[in-house]
Amino acid sequence: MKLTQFLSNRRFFRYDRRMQLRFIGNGAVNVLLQILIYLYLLGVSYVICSPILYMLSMAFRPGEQVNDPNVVWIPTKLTLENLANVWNNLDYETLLTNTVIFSGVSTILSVISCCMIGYGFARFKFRGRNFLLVMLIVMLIIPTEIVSIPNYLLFSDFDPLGILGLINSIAGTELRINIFDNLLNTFLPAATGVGLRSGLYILIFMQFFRGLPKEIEEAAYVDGSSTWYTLWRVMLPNAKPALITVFLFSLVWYWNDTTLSTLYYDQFQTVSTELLTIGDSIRQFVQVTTYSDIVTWVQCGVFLSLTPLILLYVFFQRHFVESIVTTGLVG
Amino acid sequence: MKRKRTGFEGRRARAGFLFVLPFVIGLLLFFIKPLCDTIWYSFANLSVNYETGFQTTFQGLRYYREMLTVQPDFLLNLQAVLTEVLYRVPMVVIFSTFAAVMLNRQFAGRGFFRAVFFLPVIIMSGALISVLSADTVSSSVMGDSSGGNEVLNMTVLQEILSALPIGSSIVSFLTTAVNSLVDISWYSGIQVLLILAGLQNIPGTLYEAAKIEGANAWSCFWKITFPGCKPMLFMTVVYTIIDYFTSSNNVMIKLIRDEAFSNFKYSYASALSVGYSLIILLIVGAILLLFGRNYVSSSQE
Repeated sequence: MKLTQFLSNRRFFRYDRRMQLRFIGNGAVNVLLQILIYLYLLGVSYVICSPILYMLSMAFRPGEQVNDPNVVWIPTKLTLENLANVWNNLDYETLLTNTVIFSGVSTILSVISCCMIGYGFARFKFRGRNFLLVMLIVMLIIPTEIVSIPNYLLFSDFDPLGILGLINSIAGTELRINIFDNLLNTFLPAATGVGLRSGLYILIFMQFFRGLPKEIEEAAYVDGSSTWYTLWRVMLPNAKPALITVFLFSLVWYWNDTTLSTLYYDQFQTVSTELLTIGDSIRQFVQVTTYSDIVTWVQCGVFLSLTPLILLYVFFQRHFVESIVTTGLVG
Repeated sequence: MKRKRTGFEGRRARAGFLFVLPFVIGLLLFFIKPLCDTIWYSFANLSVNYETGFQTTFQGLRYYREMLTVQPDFLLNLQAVLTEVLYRVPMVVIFSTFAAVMLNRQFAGRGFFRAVFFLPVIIMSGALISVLSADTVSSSVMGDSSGGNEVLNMTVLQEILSALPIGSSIVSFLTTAVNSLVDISWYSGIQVLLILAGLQNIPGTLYEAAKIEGANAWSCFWKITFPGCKPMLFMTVVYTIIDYFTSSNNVMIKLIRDEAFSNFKYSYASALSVGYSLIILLIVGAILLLFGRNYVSSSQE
């Protein structure tokens, strides 16, 4: 709002009950309050942005300027050498492709499965529904690491329900499926609604579908549409806010994930897991390294892994904020 | 007539179950079975052999005894986690309520500030946050993890403050306060979103009516805003607690991961997991049962 307009619109004085002119300081206090609020917002914004600014400032400066007392934020010389070092030595194209496949496919699978499951919980009554809901909450509360050891064993000898063992015992073969270090060990849980934070997404969808009026569905049923067709053609077009929210959350969490990708993967690396050891991995390739160089490389790595997310955020930001506000998230 | 109705209900139930079927499979395969396995391993010695698979031999309460009486890690870490939750949750909730109330008002640059305040949502997880807060550099290069989370350089603030005529203890208190603000603001992106969503659900007509009656901003907040977003505040508190308990930066989770995958003490790690999960479940369950009924059910109806 224009400050001058604001100032001129306010009354600094008013007549009180006894019709005496009194200074109430309303306008002045308001202006002061406004300034304080902006100061607060700017301060917190600075706090939130400072690591990103630090990253930008470090990523493009030559190594010798890291500890230079004359350079605080803006380096006197900008260089792309760090970026080139990180890009080439880490084989960044492969890492990026890995990450895009890992997080993209998991996200799409999560969105589809959680949407279905959320709709099932929101609109249908069936036996065992309450038990499943309780398990959903338990799944939310219990950390992934708790089930990591059995899952680790399960993935290295993947045999759901003993079917493979049965085949082996009948045919006398020694077949084994090992999906450790295989993308399937992330995709399968994602497709069945037990992936990374899937419980939360199911709740979001459930809450959202519950908030939609029942009448539109009933109209569809009267016109003879099946439940699947109703979900696909009637509910989904109305569920755009929830879809965007879940999509963005899921993508971000899979992209940044280091838990699953360090527990169940060995050779396969994503951008985030590479970040954990980035200093050491580049040191192998560059002959003379200093601590300062490593600082710049790490920040370059962060820059490279963050840029796609930031671009996505800038692109989706408007929809995202609006959709959260209309979804009401988990009411 | 009645038969037909049950037929319809039955069909609906079957359709609903079909929608949820993937979840049932996933739950059985990737959650319930592993959970039972973890509980079993915590009572049994697990030896992994890469040729023939793995064997278990029953050991009774040995690992629980080790966890509670021999090794000090579990109890110490538990205490650390619980105290951290106790002071962190109120701070996060107060900070995000304040921020959400600010961001809910109409003012110039609201879109920009909202975008900035939600930025942590996309960066807060995984390796990025630890690298951004610079502790990976020091731990991988210097070989220690001390001096981690200080994102902002505090020396300037310290100098300014020490020039003022106040005691050094106040100075250190202020700098830690500012420092924890950094931490808090980085971890409360989603909480701000949640409370903002709660605020948006309060009808504006209430405020108009209050204004006509002569209420000021302060009483508007306590009489309208606060009761209006109480359910959301409750959700935020629960979310914050769960988020902290399950975050992979949590000392307890780190301990479990180290014991399992660095020291290969699978059974001991399983016992730790079971003990920790039970405690989390008890705490969160108690909160949900004690307070949840009022808020959750009322917002669902």
